[in-house]
Amino acid sequence: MQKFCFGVLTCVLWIASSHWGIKPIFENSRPELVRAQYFKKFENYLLSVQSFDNALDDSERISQQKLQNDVRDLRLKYKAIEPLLAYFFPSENARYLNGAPLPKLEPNVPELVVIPPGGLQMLDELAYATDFEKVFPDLAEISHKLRVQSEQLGQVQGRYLTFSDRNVLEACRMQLIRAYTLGLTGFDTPGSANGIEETVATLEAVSEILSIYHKLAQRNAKEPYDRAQELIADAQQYLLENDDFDTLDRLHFLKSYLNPSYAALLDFHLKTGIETVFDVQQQLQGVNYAADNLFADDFLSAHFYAGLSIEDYNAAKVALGKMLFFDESLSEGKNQACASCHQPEYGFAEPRAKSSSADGFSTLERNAPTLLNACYSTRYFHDLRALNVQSQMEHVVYNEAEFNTTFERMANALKKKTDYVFAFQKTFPHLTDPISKPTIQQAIASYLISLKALDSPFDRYVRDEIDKLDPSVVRGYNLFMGKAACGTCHFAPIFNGTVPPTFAESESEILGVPTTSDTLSASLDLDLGRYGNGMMAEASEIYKHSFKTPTIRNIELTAPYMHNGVYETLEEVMDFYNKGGGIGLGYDVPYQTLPDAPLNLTKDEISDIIAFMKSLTDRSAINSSSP
Amino acid sequence: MRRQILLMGCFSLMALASLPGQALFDVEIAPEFGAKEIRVSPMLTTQVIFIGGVDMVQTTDTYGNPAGEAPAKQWHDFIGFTGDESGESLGWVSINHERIVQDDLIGDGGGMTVFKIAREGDSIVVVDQTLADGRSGKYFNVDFVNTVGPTGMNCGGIVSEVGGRIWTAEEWFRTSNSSIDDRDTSDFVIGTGTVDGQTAPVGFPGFDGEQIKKYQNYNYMVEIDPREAVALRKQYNWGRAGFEGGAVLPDNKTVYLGIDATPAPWAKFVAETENDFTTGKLYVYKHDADEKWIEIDNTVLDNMLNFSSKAWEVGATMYNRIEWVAYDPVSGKVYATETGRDNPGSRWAGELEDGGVFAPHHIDRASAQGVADPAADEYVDYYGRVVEFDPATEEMVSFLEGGPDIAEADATVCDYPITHLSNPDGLHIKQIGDKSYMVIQEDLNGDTYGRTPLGTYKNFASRIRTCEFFLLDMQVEDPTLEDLVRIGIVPFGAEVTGARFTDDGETLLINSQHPSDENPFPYNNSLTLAISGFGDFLGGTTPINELNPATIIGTLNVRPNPTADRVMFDRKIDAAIYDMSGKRLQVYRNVNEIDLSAFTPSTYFLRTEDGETAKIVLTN
Repeated sequence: MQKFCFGVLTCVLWIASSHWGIKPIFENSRPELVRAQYFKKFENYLLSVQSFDNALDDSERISQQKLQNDVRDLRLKYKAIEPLLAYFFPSENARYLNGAPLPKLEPNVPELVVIPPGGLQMLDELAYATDFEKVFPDLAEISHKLRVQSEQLGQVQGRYLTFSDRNVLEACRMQLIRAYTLGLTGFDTPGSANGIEETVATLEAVSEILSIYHKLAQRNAKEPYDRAQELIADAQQYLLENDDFDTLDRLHFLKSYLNPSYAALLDFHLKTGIETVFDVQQQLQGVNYAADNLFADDFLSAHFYAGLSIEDYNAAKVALGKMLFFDESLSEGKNQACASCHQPEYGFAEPRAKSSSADGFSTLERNAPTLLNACYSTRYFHDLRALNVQSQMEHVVYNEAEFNTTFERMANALKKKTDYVFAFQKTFPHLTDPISKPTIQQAIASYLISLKALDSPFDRYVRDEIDKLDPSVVRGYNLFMGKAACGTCHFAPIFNGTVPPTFAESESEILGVPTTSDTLSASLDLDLGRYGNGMMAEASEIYKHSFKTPTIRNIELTAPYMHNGVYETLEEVMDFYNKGGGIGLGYDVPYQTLPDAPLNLTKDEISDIIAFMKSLTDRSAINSSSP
Repeated sequence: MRRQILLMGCFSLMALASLPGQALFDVEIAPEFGAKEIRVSPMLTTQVIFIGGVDMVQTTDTYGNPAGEAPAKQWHDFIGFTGDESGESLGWVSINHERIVQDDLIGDGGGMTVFKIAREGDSIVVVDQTLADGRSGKYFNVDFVNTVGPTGMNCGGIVSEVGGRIWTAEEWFRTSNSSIDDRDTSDFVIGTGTVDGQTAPVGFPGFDGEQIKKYQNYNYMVEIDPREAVALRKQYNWGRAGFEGGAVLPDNKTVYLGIDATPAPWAKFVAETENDFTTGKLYVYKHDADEKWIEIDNTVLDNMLNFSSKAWEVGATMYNRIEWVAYDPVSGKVYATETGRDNPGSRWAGELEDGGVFAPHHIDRASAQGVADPAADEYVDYYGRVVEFDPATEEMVSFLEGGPDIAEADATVCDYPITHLSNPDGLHIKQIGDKSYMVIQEDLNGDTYGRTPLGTYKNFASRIRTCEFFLLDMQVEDPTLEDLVRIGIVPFGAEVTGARFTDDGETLLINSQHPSDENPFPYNNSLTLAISGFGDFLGGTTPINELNPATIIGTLNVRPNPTADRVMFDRKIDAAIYDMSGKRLQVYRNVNEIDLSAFTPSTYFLRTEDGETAKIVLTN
């Protein structure tokens, strides 16, 4: 062991601390105070769960009205602990406390076991069930399980919950995103739609956590601290004054409160000198902590999803990827390029319902999805069979009906072309044999990262870069994120199935899509979707006819729609959802995840939603795609 | 300028001297629990010797495709090791692939890869071989398809205590032809092949000519010849079940069998004659009977196809997912991992009605948890355990409980225990002289309830499943978690499995299975690794806990230093790393180990929350 000279080192440290404005602070540990505050609130929640459960045990049957009130109170208690609980115990939270009210598969067991849905979202749904008497036994069972799990979590966190200032500030910022994307949209209140009151409660919790940092802020972070607290208070006030779920102006809330407070908290974090995630870990995350706006074009890290580090990404690779993307000679029949099905002029999708097969006669099984913003996903293909971009390419390259070749054959062909030899050498100068499967994949992944389209008129308006937006777009966005419930599956800001607030998982849904758009003679499309994706661990009933939730960005360009291209127009798509999907059309879809009740959207409302969707068109990547 | 800095340095010195504790540093969890590469004790060296999907295996004529080579399958699980008595090499290594996928060249289902290793200096090398069937190369696919029919989900297995005979186990019980990914799902005739013409001529005495559904030809223990890379037989007389592990005892007649299911029976086969496992009797264990081993007639095919059901009919004892089985030659006892399952209640309630009985330790646990019995919905078994079976007394008891269990802990904050054992799965025991050592490997069922530490974030809030492997000195009486010595962890997302020592006890072979695809090459593939350097520790003069300096109490001791990648401390610290110019590079909380491999070789300063400092030299 070697000890370094103490005096010299302290000089070094002095320089270090003056450089970052870090000074040692020796007050009562803030995380300890946060923890104590949280435990007190957790105790309130636990008492509430216990008394809720006891009430259900009483022989006298509780009225539905009373039960709804009790669920409301219970959920508000939960919202007070959600910022820290959901951050520190994401798995427990999703599986037992406040996960989506859908069946799941038991992880890591040597068989397929469906776990029935439970937790607070399920309680909310059942409390508003029309057949309340019938579902009551289920409700009692779910309540009991919630109680057991909550009590156990109480024990666990008593033992394990230790954390740092960094965690606390990350949890607060994450809660703002969670509250906006999952709370205000009604995602986690499927029965009561009580998202506004719950958001007020959880903003209060964030504010109370932050107040523990009041003293620290006085040093040199007073301004952003005060700004954040004021914005959060104003946000609560705004919600209290506009508490109607269907008419709340969520766009105004986003621009005036959500984004500014999210930015202020970042500002505060940086000014305190507390380390950020970038100081403690090297690997990328889906959410870029340095972004200051939910609609910033770097809010999500494309590199994280594409599996390519920022250092490994450069313009030369993008240019090479682009060359490869448009080159038909890469396929065995020399008649297919990536661009054959992902055509720039159609938003990197194609106007055919189903893509052409390599034989030139038949078609592939499904519609080609857009590649614009495609990389913001953790699973690829409509059936989610590829776990990353590289494996997505492999499926296309090896598929007999598509490229029908191998990367080795492809590399050999490329080595005979001087322009490619030159380009690969220039792009991968340190490699002796630069044309290979990994370099081809890296180049195409780089091109995919470049196909970012997050600069639409809507984005620019949210980011205050333009100050006017058509009122129908504003109405459309508010419907999309509220009454029409689109935003509970097509999550902001990409409006795809990548789930906030961690954006670490891509979801699929069962909609009950028909084979034809003719409603009289149509029948359920029997494509098995995720069930048949070749993964043993997903061949379960709960994934039959389940398909990946695509982005709605650039939807104006990517007709026809759905996995099978059944709908030609957005009006048809909206009509399908408005009727309640496959069940609404009268099909038997046992595990449909789309609510089957009609949305009751008027013609004007539908046209507003379409106007909003069309405001998400960003052609810049298309315009720069010409070879 | 220089003078000014020195002056200010003095002020800083005074400030530091009065440090009551660094409040900006609070407790957080070690990055040591999340690595993109394999991480083992710095006292050991690691080599990658077999990469799934990359290394090419030599194949036989299959499905009309001529013999050739193909990229090896992934999902490495069990490792068999068969010593080379000639002394020319160390021996033959057999690797399971826990898959069910179609493959034109290797064959459908899962399968195995075998190869031969030798020691050259301090390194392990894979040596060239030419087999009797004419194949030559380094890695060889075991031909199942043209011999016994395809195998699937090859997970655990058996290395016999005598002669290194190898069996592979087919886990994930198949219940229909749609649950196998097989190109030929026509009925299967034992000893002939499928009725559609895929021949599989290796049968089994007494069962040849029996026609079964294709899926019913999965889920057996299957013996192979690791020297020639061929399958020898599916062990129809040991029953059909989701087998995971087993042990053949030194008498060369007795076989114990582990089944990964909830519930699982504990099974035993006893051969009529030594070294011949084609005839003998099959039993299931019933702890509460006078005759604890109850025979299931294994000459009746129907009994074998429905082995577990027959076990419950005779009231066998029920366990919660038995995985690997290992024999301790020193004590003569048999050990098995019971990996556990979060909420097993509904999974074995039906079998309870069919006649199965709960193992006593599950009844005790249920009672301690205040629930009616292990079939109750509230009953939890998060962490699993290692169980011990003593052939002398025929008692099966819990040997080492996973955890520490949340229910045992007092409700105060404490650090995440360095040795938190969750869901033990792989198990191996190695005898060196008159001592023996157990290697326990984790395959986490989840990240909940303390199975992984808080703060190991992949994406802010999602915890990373990092599986660890531990060494236990079997001479320790009534061991606790404190006696486990952590040897290492496998990369993000991977399960650690297959551990097996070479005969000389110097090298541990181990698999990193199904890692995250975000890890850098080759750690994004399933890997077989050779970890060498155990010779000094096993049976030697150096205590095994020196493999993990964190378990030794002392003053801050940074080692190794200089280092090529990591430094370890004798206790957990909060610290920051600074470069030569004083720039803060990285903050660590509550760590007993820091990984510097991402930094460029240079000299760095480390400062702890108490102001202790050290210079660390990072070499290439």
